[in-house]
Amino acid sequence: MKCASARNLIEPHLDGELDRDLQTEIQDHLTSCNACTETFSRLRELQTNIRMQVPRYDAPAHFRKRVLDAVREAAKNGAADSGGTRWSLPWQWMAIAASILLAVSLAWNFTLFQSRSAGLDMIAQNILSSHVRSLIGTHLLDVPSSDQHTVKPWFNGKLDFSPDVKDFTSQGFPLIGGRIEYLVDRPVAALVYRRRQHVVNLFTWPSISSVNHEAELTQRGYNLVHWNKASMTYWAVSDLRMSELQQFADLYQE
Amino acid sequence: MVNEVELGALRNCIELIPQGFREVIVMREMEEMSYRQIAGFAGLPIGTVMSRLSRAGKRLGECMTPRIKGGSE
Repeated sequence: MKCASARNLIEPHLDGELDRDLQTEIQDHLTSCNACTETFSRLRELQTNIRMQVPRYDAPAHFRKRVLDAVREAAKNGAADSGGTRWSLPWQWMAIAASILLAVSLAWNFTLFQSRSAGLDMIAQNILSSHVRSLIGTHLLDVPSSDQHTVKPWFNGKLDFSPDVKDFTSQGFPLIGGRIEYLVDRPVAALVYRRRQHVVNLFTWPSISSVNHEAELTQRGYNLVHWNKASMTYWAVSDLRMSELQQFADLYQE
Repeated sequence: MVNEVELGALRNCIELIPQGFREVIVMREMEEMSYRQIAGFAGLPIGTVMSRLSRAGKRLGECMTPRIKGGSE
């Protein structure tokens, strides 16, 4: 298959609209063509963003059906009344319906978006409290070790996931151990690193969302860097400068 | 936060792209209609639905890129 024809099939492929033969052909092409693979990834990301970040508005589903039914009905009557001239094109009726639905979805999503943002703030506060507790209390480490091959197996059987434990001693962020925390209604792994006299807590647990994203925030003088990657959520927190904490986050994500 | 920036950009861009593009995106991604359903509802050939979806995706991408740049990638 040539790139030119493959390019036109990438979207139908993503939308699950291709028959099996074409699907096999495009998959074969994607394994051998970097340019098309890149296009595929970009489009898939856009589609994921549209579907995940603009969540579907389930609640007004009855409303949606009513609009669509009304428009279908109107399109039928309109076509009959006007003898197929002015409003006879279903496209025009569909345009009106889509605009109404879009207005509803935008209003609805705005509400969802606000509650999501509040949710992130709440997690950040929990993370920060846990970080501060770990510093003032005696419970900084369950497994004190600078050896990633000691820390990682320690989590086995204690969590329903296995955190990716990395050591950055040579880059100035030595691993000093790990512990288990109970946060956001689930046990999570806390990996502990040191930077000069500062402590960095890195919290991680499986993410509900498969969308990759990253955020920085500052609360009560502490910096937090949050990212989602490969279906895991990460929160790094420290009193380090944001630039240094970001450096740590970049190292971890390499 | 990038999350907010991306979501805001996406929302703006869906509003900004031409209506014909917006409608196919809404039907495909939010209504989860198949190409055939969209074609039937819109009275368009399937080929036109496909090319319109493709151009709509391209326009959305072009619209979003400058808006999310400068975030903490």
